Amino acid sequence: MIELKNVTKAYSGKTALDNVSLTLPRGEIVGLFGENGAGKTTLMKSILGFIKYNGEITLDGQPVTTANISKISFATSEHSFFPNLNAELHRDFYRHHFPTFSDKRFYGLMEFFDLPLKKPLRSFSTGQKNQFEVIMALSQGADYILMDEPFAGNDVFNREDFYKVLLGILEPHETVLLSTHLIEEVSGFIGRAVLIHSGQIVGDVDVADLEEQGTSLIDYIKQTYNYRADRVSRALSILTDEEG
Amino acid sequence: MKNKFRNCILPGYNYEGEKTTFIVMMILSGFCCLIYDYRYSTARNRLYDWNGKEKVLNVHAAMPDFADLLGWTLWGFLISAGIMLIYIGVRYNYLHQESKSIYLMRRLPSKGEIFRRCSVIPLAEALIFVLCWLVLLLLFFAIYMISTPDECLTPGQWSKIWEVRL
Repeated sequence: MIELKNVTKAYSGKTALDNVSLTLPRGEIVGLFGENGAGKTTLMKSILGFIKYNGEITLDGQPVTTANISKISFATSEHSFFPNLNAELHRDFYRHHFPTFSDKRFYGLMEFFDLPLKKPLRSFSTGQKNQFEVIMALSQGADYILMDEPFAGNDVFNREDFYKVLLGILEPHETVLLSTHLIEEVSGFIGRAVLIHSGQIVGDVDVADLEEQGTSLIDYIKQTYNYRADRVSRALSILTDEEG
Repeated sequence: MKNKFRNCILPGYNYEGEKTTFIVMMILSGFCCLIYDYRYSTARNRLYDWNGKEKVLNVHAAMPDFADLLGWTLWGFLISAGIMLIYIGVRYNYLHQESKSIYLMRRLPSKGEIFRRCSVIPLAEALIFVLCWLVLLLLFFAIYMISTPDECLTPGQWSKIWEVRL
């Protein structure tokens, strides 16, 4: 289990994470939602130890160090591969460092996304680069898979097929923390939704419970964020008046 | 050995450019050493007068100080060492170019992986240049002290090197 206790992070006076407490048990698929700048990426980078923070983050009861960091993988839209290297050489590099690396997943997903093995990553399209990030995160053999906006640049068909494949291949002990804006798309495949707003956790809900209550995930998120339904009509009215 | 070397290079990093710089700087630094050889042999020849076909030592002549003859001729090695250290920064920068491969490097379970791949070879290259500088300094000084006639030597040559350099 990944556990965050009272985690706070500020960038030059601006609070990015404000006293965040959160647990991510094994075997869950968790959606992490929030507006741009809400703190989703900061939260993931804190878990990975990329940035300093106040508070405590543990992985199966231990602080995240080189001793246990291989239990976490990370797919990011910023990309974390070596642009000059091809996919096959990335596989070699991962296998060298992560003994749990799964060749079966790697080749299976490379074929699913129809990605070339011998071309340098820099020649991939943005969508292909994101796909490759996801492939490596899933193939590493980690127990906790963090994905930060992994589907940017991918068409809807690719994404939908990928969700199905993901659900099919995940082992019961694997946890996915998925940060995305594509709420409606992922609502059918996540088990839990965590909402973050201005660095604070403002919602943490079981998607099945929502369904039982007859509330959709998007409605729950709109309620939590105090979404103003009249926002569009007001804007149109103002804009139309201006033009008139 | 080849594997150990490969493990000290960042994946996809173009080591050829760094290697070429090392070789070129070594050749240029070595070439500058020849200037010292020329200066020393010229100064030594001036200690002698020609009596017909016979070379006779002028016991009143003084050999220029070693530090003056040496001048900047070994600086190339130290400058090259500095350039090799810049490659540590180049390698770290590579981890931020086009993608953030630094994220992957920081997730690796092996301790010191980033340091090893970014610093070990440039530090070794820099050390080679510093060692060359030191060995040649000692060698040139030994040649100076052994080959220069005692009558023409002025005392305190070793300390004069550091007076000039420091």
